[in-house]
Amino acid sequence: MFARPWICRTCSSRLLRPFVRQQGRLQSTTVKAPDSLPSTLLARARAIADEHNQLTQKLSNGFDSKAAKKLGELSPVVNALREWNKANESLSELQSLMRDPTTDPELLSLATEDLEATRDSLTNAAQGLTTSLVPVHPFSHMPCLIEIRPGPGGLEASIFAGDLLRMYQNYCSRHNLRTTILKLESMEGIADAGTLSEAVLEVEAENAYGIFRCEAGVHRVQRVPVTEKQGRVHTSTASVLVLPNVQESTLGEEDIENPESDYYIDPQDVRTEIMRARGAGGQHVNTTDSAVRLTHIPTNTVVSIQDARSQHKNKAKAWQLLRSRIAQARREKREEEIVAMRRSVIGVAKTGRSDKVRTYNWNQQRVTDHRSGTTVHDLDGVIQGGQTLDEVMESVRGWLMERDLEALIAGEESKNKEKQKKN
Amino acid sequence: MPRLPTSLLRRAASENPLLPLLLRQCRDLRSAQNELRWLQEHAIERAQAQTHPSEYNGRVRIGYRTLLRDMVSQRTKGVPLQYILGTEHFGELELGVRRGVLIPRQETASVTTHLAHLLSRSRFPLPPELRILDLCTGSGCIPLLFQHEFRNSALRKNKNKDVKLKLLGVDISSTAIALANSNLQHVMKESRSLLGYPDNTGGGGDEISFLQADILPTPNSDTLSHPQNIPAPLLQSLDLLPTGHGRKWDILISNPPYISPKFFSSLTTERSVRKWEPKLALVPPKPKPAGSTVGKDTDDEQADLFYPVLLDLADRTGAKICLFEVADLAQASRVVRLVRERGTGLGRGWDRVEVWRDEPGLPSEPEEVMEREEKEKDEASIETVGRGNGRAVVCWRGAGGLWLGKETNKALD
Ligand SMILES: C[S@@+](CC[C@H](N)C(=O)[O-])C[C@H]1O[C@@H](n2cnc3c(N)ncnc32)[C@H](O)[C@@H]1O
Repeated sequence: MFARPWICRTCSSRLLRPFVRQQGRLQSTTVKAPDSLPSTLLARARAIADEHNQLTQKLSNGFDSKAAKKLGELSPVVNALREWNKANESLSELQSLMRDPTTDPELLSLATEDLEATRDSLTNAAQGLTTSLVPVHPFSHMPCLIEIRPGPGGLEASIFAGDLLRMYQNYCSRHNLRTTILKLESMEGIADAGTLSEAVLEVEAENAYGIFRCEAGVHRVQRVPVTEKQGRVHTSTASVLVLPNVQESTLGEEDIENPESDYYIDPQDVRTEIMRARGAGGQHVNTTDSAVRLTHIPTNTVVSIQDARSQHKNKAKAWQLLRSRIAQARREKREEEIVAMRRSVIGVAKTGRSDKVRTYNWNQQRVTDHRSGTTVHDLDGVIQGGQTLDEVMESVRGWLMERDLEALIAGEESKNKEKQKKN
Repeated sequence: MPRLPTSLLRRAASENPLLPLLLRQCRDLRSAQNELRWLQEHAIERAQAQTHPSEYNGRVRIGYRTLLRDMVSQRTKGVPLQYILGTEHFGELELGVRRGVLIPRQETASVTTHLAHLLSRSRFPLPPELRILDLCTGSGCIPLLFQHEFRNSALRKNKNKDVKLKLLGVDISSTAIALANSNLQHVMKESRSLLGYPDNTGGGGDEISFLQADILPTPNSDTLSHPQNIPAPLLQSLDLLPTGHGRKWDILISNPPYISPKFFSSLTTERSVRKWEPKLALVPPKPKPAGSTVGKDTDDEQADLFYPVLLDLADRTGAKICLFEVADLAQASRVVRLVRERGTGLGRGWDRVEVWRDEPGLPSEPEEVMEREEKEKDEASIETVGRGNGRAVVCWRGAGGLWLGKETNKALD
């Protein structure tokens, strides 16, 4: 299903290290290409084609599995560039034919007829080339964790958080994505099991992070809460955090034991606390408490898990969650650095955890995503995790890719400026 | 028992009417919620299992709610959750538990795991067949977890992979031995696909077996005239083992009954333990009024009853490492003294002895470090390892120290 990932050349710089490209299902979300292909993108595609050529030559002198792999990763861009070159050539041929006063009138009318179709195919080729260049998020291929927490607003916020959890659960079961509840805490003393104070849903599918990345952020609800007697509309929120799920089994030893890796955590930095038996412990006490709490001291990140009867399982889950959170935090920090670097070039919208991303308005039966600007009027369909939710999510993924594209162009431009400064 | 605040009970009741009942056994709402969830899952499983025709044979099927209510009411009477659910998690293993046999404790698991890990990482060659005797084995939890942890860690670290384990668990109770054997079958079924171990058929893998025997001197044997004589039952049974070498063991582990009568009837021992777990597993029998008891604390003496016997057995079997679980630091110090009293003479004494806390693998708390440093200034210093209550006395001699990575062999460097 996936083409092999390739690493863009610019990304070999440390800052851009995580931009590994992965051509997957989501890539079917095509990016709206700008009317003319930006020169920076074209330059980039040409540089990749050059590299492709060199690799081909290298391979003709003997087999090199690394080079072969790289070649496979580069070829979608090379193919797209070839298509674009072809379309570009036919267009300029037509244009020069039409500009030439000696052109036979019969031929001229044929060329005029062709012009439209050739323009179209150039636009398509430009779109294909752009799409092939956009870096896919490096964690797209990973399973993920969705953490849901109510914002301020008491009971209503916590009911809404529960709504979101069920929305994602339904979405997953409709798409045959396997899920497990890693953590589920309802509000203390609330009779209705629909409320929650914290939930962590694990989506085990291989590309779950790519699917759900667009859901991160603050979701806002506007409705008359069940508890409201006067019929006033309240606004509350719930926050959704989407983390790539780093399971040791999917990671491999290098990632966990390599201090350079985002997933690396020095065990010395983690304080482990195990719920101790009361008093003397040992034979005197027979406890059922299996809670485990981990604290990552440098970042003061605390994770506690007590859902399983097995202390060992709780510990494994706690490590998994801690690793995911730390890796995400490190990545976000790096992304912020990148954003800061580019801000001078272009205003890149940040979609961090504090931004409102979507509004669910009950009165109007409306859902609006503030990033893609998409509005749908099938609130029930969305909140039940139905087809309409797919549409909304798809629109956000398209939007995210456009941002990535902007970032890519901005990055290329600032790099060129650096180069010019040096020369 | 402390009274629960009414507000807490009311809140719990509004969530689920069964919660206030569970709160009486649990320390807080959260653990009551957890217990309720585990009980619910178990009740649903059992209710579904009934659809099996042989099980409801014309009778009316019992709904899960009825089952659940029954389980909660047992729990309210103090029946340990593990007896109701029929299982307990012990390290990475899930073992069966049964009334009449002690429920394995978390602390025992972490101490056993720590020992298995130290040995599996030994840089000094272990014997090709490492022989481990677990006395007072109960559910068989210690040999089963030791094998699991040693094998996994050896494979992971690619060390000592060729060492074969021979483990024998001994208990006086036939209920315990039956349970241990059933746990062995269960673990073998689970792990054979994973590891190919243990292979109890003697086909080259690790071997775990269980034996019913009394490790204490028999009441009618003349212990007074032969004070060093270890009574027949255990050693005789060992001689009869089909595999031979019955009297030769490298490592001796035991979690014997260690609660004194005073601690058993006081608040130190949880009501549910006192009422529902077997006293045979918890409180040693009264010592014989042998010799003078003047000036001795008979309560402590009874609590410590098994340790001299275990040290004798260590000598008789040539064990090089001993690990004995104890109640607390006080009992640990008494056992350390016992070990030291045996000197360093040939075949009897011990090179070193230390105390492991509940979590020997975790770093000590600041106050524990202080306590340790304080004690080390003392002449009769006791070294403690890890975090928590004093939990096990560990001593070694000869190659034992090298296997544990506690001593370095100068000749090797
Ligand atoms: C504290 S339990 C330990 C069980 C198990 N090893 C564990 O850690 O969960 C002590 C066990 O010693 C057994 N026991 C008591 N007296 C014994 C004796 N004289 N000889 C052998 N076993 C004895 C009891 O039946 C009980 O299973």
